Amino acid sequence: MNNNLKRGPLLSAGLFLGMGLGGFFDGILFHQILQTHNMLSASIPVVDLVSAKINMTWDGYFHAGVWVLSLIGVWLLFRAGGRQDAIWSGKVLAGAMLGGWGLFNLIEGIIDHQILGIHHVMEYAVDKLPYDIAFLISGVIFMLLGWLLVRAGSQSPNSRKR
Amino acid sequence: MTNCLSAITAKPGNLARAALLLAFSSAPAWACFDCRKAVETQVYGPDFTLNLLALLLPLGILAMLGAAACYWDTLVGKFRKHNLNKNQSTNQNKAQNKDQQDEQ
Repeated sequence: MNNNLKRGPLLSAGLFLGMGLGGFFDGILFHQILQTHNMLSASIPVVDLVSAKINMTWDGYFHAGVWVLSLIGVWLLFRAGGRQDAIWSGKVLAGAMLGGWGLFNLIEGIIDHQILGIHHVMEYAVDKLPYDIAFLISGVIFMLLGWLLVRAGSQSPNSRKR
Repeated sequence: MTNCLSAITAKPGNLARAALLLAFSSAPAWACFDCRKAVETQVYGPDFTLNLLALLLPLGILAMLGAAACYWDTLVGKFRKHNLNKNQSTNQNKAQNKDQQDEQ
């Protein structure tokens, strides 16, 4: 195990990238392709073109936010790549990204779906709770898988030693 | 006008360019030209700041967690050190207790 090399820089970069890309995945798949919900679809239900476009605008602000997270991730990854004291492993990066995606699902699910209730995964379903719970569970599973990958990457002798 | 039209239709490429230009500048290309005012009024109304804060709250928390991961090694190091000290003091206490029991 590379005890002397720091995991923090690559972990942080991967987490930011995972959170940003996880946000884009949510926005592209659920908001745009499947159209199961929008950012404020619980408080401003989509009933006509105006309400659809209001939600579209808020989706845009959400996408701008996750774009910033992704940009920070790229910047941190660039910095981690140049550090001699930081671990450099594909498994650690992939695990951190998966963990970041899981963290996004968990935090966004708890705050937006459960606490604030501004939208739900399946806004137009009769019973929304099972889908919201499944979203939270997916977050926990992604985080666990990510953690396993990070551990495997940290212990792997193939991790780049500098 | 006639010169302009003849210039456009002189080559098929020019015609295609003109069609593209028309497609992107004509009214239907503007997303919801008629309802734009109503949308802007409702989005940038009194609830704008509240909605924006609600929307950005999870992202802010995520950013803080991501930033905290930068200090992962320091945090883990401190945690390990704390546990090590705790274990050492527990072992010392146990040894002292044993000594006291032996003396008794």
